[in-house]
Order: sequence, then C-alpha cells, then structure tokens
Amino acid sequence: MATSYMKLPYEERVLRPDSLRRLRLPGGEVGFSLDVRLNYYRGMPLSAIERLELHLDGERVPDHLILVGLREKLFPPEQVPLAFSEHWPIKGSLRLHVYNGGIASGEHDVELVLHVRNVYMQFAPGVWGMIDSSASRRLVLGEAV
Amino acid sequence: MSAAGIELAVSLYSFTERFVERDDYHVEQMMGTISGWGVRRFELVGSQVFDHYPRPQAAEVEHVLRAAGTHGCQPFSYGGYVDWGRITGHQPTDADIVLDLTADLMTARDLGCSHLRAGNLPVHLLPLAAQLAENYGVSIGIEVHAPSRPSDPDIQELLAAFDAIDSPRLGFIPDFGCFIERPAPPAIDRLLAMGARNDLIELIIAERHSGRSEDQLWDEVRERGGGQAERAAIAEFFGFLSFGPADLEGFRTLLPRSLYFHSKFYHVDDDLIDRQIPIAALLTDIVGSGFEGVLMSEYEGHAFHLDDAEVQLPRHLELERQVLAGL
Repeated sequence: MATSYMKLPYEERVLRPDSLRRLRLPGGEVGFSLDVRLNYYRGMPLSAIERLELHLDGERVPDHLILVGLREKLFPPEQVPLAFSEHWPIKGSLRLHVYNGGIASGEHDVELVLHVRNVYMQFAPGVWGMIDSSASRRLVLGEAV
Repeated sequence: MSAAGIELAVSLYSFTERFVERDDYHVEQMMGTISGWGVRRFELVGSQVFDHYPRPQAAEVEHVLRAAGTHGCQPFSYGGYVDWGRITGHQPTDADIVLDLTADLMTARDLGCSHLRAGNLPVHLLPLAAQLAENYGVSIGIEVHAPSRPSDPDIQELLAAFDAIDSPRLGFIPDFGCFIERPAPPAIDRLLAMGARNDLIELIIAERHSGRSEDQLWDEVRERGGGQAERAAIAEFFGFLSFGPADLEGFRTLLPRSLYFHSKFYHVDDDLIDRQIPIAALLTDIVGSGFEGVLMSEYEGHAFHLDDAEVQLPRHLELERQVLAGL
C-alpha cells in the first residue's frame, strides 16, 4: 500500500537528450544504453526502486535483457530491491544496459515507468510516500560512450 | 530583550532548484554567493550534496571544507535523515536507526558542524542519542516540520522527553513552515493564470478554516461563478498547500529546548513582506525567550520550480535584520 505519488517538476532531467546510446562490444553492436536520473531533490538508495519498466517504441523491454548500472556496479533488475547500500545520487545517472541486439539509427520513443519509495517518509508500517520519476521522450540514438 | 545574540545563516538547500538542474553548480558557487551577503554559517543536506550517503567519501567532505575555506564560510549544521525504508520489506530495528544516526554524527563531525539535524528518532532512543551527541561533540536537533504543529501530542511528548533527559546536546529545530497562514504568492499566481478569479481565491482562503467542508465551499464558489481553476484551488488548499492559524502558543513551549531555527520561507515581496509566515511574531518570541544562536534561512522556491534563491534570500535576510533591529 502506498500514498499518492509525488512528481516534482524535474521530469525533463530524467531522460536527457543525449541519454540513449548504442551499446557496442568488440564484436559489434549488442544493444543500447539509457541513462536515467531521478526526479527528486535528493538521492535515494537503489533499493528504493519499486517499479522499473522500460518501453521502446511502444514495446516493453523484457527485464532479462536489462542490467542496471550505478557507477562501476551492475545489478539485474530483480536484485535492485536488495541494493540498500548503494546510493543513487541526485546528480548521477543510472545506466540501463539493454542487450537486445541493437536498434535502428534515428529517433525512438522511450517510455520509462519508475516508481521510487520515499525512504524517509513512512506514514505507517509499510505505508510509504512514493516518488513518480517516470518520463517519456523521443530520443535520437547516439554513439556509444 | 535583545537580538544581539542571533546570527543569520543560510541552508544550502535553498539553492535546490539550480543544484538539481545544473551539473556545473555545486557547493562552491553557493558558498561564494552567501559569503557575498555577509553570511558565514550554513547547513547542507548530506543525501542531496554527497554522491555517497549515509557515509560520504573523504574526498567529498574535503570538497565541502575546501570550498568553505575559500569563501570564509563555516559548516554549522548537517542535515541528516533516518532512511527508514532503505532495506526493502524490513522495518528498521533500533540498531538500524542508531546506525544511521551514528553515520550522520560521524559526517557532521568530519565537516566540523556543531549540530546535526537528525531524522525522526523514536522517543525511547533519545537518551542514547544524547549520549552519542556527547560522544561525538555534535548536538542533535529534531526538526518540527509541517504538517506537524508544536502543540501536536507527539511534539509535546518529544518535549517532555527532552525535559526528562535534560541534555544541552538534544533539542528541537522548529521549522517556520509549520506557521504558514496563507498560500504562497507563486501558488496563487499559478491559479490565477489557470483562470481563477482573485475574489474567489480570497474567499476560499478566508473560508478554509471556517468549518465548512470542501464540497460545501465548492457549492458556494460554483454559485458565484467559479469553475475548474477555483475547484483546483479548493483541492490544493485543503490538501498539500494547507495552511492555517499559526500555533504561536505551542511554539513558545518549544523555545527553551530549541537549538536553532529553520527560518523556512516561500516568498518575500520586493517590499520585504512575507505574506505567509508571521516572521515578526516568531522572532519576537525567540528573542523574548533569551535565545542566542542561529536563525537558518531556508528558501523552498523549488516547490514552484523557481530558480530565484539569489533574489529571495537577500530579501529574507534583510527582512529578518529589520525585524530583529526593531526588537
């Protein structure tokens, strides 16, 4: 059970214009990456992510194709709720590594569903304030970094 | 009565809008700005400023201290939290809470802060908190923040616990956001821009605490020609933009146990009037109590997506100076 979702006015920063990039390995292109920021005023533990869904051009990206990167560490989506000692800073990005074989050049419609438990805002045991950090944006695929 | 012992300070949280929006903006720019206003002491919020929390890396602490040294500033208080929900599906034990408190005390000490604004601590842990505060040489303040009011039973329970423990290292940080008497001008401007009529907005504000329900008020506003913008105003004023008569009587009960004050504000007009918060009454009570210490201005303009802290904070500091000079 959660309260209504807070949505601060920083949605534009969640998916920045240069956030979608090719993911290349020495053998060639293997997918894409997407950098994601938090729509809030402070950082949060990574474990606070309660819902993370990525849609590309209207299609849900299966979780098993995604690795969630924070600084030098990687987590499969199912391990994210366990990452309570990892702090996602407000000026830092998560990098979603998506191993889907690659996507076409040009523009793509990206939709991110991202709900974050507000870890310091507990109204009753198990009842948390929630942050809606979801965002949608048409992004141009950039080169790998 | 003398205001000579009160020092004006600034919470760097006031610069949230620019800090969040611009990667090239960090504590050194904030400190450069406040030092230009003659302000020396500041508060910073660890989970906002640091990339690692609850324990920042040594280089991050050094970054803050270097900036403070450059600009002649001094960290006064460290804004901590108890992140009760950090571990998914786990209700924190006392040990978990004490761990977070200890981490914040360590960081406050590393920064040279004399005070920690701690997260909410259970009353039964306060005696231990007082001991930890003594051990680390950092006083622990519990913020009294909206929607809480000083007279609320849980705040008065906290006061009784502070009295029983009677430690100078433990007390309140009253936040002036508890005393909002009417909506902020930017909130009203937004509703007017949506098409709301000013006379109906004033009617809704005047009737907010008349005992009428939202539906009853909406019926009258609709009969007078109100539409969806006025309906949104009613919903907001009964909800997240709530306001009401300032609980000054309750505030006075907290003063003997107050360590410093968060002088929260949302807007000061260019003629130095805060139409929301009764700053003169609050400062009169503070000075009348004999308090000597820090008054920490904290601007919350990011609530309205406004990047105007550099305009608003000097107005607020000047407003406080003028009020204090008159006491």
